[in-house]
Amino acid sequence: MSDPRIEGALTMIKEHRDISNHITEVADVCIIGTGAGGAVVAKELAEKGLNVVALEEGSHFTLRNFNQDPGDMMAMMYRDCGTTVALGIPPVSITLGKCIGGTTAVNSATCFRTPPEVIADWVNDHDCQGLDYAGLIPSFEKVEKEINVTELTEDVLGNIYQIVKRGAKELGLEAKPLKHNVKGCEGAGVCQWGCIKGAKQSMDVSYVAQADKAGARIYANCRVRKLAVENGRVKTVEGIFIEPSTGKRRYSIKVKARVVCVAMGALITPAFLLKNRLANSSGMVGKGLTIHPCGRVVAEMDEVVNGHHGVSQGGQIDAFKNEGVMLEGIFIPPAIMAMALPGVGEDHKYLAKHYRNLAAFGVMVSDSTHGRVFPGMFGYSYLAFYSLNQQDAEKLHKGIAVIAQIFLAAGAKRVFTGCYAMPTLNSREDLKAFKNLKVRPWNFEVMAFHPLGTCRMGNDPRKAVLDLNLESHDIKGLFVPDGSPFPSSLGVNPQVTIMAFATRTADYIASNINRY
Amino acid sequence: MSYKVLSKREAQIIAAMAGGVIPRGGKSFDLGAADLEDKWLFRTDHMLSRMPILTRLSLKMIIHVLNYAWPLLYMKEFKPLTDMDEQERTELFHIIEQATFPGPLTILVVKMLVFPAFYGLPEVKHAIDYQEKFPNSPDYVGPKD
Repeated sequence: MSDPRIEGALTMIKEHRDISNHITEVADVCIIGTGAGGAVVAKELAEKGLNVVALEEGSHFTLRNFNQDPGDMMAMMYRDCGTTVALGIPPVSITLGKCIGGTTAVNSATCFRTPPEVIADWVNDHDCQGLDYAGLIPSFEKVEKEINVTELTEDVLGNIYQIVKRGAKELGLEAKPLKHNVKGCEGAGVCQWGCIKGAKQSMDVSYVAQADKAGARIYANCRVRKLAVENGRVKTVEGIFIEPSTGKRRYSIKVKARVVCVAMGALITPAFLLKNRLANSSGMVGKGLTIHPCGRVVAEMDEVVNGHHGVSQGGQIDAFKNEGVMLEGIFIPPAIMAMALPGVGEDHKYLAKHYRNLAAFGVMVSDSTHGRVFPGMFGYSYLAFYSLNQQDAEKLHKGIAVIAQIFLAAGAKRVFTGCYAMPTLNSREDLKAFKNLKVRPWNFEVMAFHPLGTCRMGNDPRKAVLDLNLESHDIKGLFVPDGSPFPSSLGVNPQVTIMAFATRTADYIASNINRY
Repeated sequence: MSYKVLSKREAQIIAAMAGGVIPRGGKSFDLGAADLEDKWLFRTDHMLSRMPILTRLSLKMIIHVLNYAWPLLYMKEFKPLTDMDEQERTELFHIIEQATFPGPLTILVVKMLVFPAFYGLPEVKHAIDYQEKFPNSPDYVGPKD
């Protein structure tokens, strides 16, 4: 039997080079996108015997293509070569995967269930009566089993985890290991650039491979352009095959389906719906974008850290979770680390030479800022605006200060904050000054990885785009099982939440398919 | 040498900027961006070719503007970056980095264009003693288009 990590997901995936004429398909369900949402729905429904077609804009990559070089991998697997952003003050880099498996193929494999208090908040304050945490537990369990969510051993978590644990203990804080969706992880440290060991159970090697096995027909390199609706019901999906290296348009595909799942992620899904003028009687499509703005702190240690010899994201400190601040590990190869550090000339070269002495940790903010997504133009798949508010900037400041304190307590020679107002801290006195700094949002270099909330769910069709099964209030048979439905920031990495809600949606579709 | 999307002039400007950020020599390692520009500029060109056309054109326009604007704004000199020597360029970048917003943010443009291409080269990895924990998969063939 072929190995999906090497051979790719088996027999049914077709790329642009495999297509030699225009295609017309008839299916029960057409799924657009093969990330955390789309792949789950494809697998669940194909296994239940439904006729499934899945369309993905990116290509299909395997161990044959992964070389640990961020430059090559960004050009190959990331949307727009990793330059996707939300415009605002400050501009925020939001990297997205563009491949079979979507962003799960380039994420850090970190897994959290949705915090129960977040579900309670959706029920109480966001018109989601009918949802409950207990009802989601079977979906969480199913997903966690499928992608093998596991706690890694300390040697694989890497030296940074040990350093942070040591520093946190000095401050009376507890660092804990994060859970990951991996099988046989040896800590190659390149989770975001294609796992060279095939250990990460991203969608391409887990759910998509299963969907393929169950008979789903999967088309890669297919950009969906139009979703046609007739009498308030979905009718056809139209796309075109694109040659990724040239952008040349080739053959077209038309899928007639009873149900359509738009799962392109919280940035592209609303842009697509707005462009097609669909599902927006509430006026909420594209509104309410949250992104989990992140900062990162890098420390220069005396000891050799070899931060790249361990999982990219090893540990977490959740002591400030209730304040909307999560601290999570992060480490990146020199090509990207160099961008995250201050200094030019000899200062820069010194840090590059001392890469093996660097440790890093990240701050993730549960944001109250809301951005907005518009349809893309001039070759962009979306246009997003997001300007960090003062409250979130202060949360970011707090998180950065805590990590800096942890690193200094663990013996760091100096700490780089990613804050333009005070980029380097050389001592505890500097840390004190940093803590007292009056910060503004534009003082920070901000990145984000979790766009959410742009087609929110809720019971009232006047205020929400989707119902609690993630079906459009306006269009029968249109579902959005990706990160778009969540009405507020999760505060934790969202892939398991997206997968669990997609599992629930798949169950609903399977039980009600005869209605469509 | 011909590039997919960069003109010779644009390559020259990016190379000059890179030389300011990663000059030759120094205590840490000898290698400078100028030593390997025939290698990493091709990688930069490839990455640019994978960006949306408007991003690519904007970046190309920005480097033309910055070539004159940086010396003018931060050194009060009407002399393009490409006419400066490596040491002058490094000094200029030091000044920009210390400046208020958006000065340091503009340097990110250079870092984004140069670092992923430069630090992916085997010679550079060797110079900074960087080695991945594991080699690529035995099944590795190469990046796909």
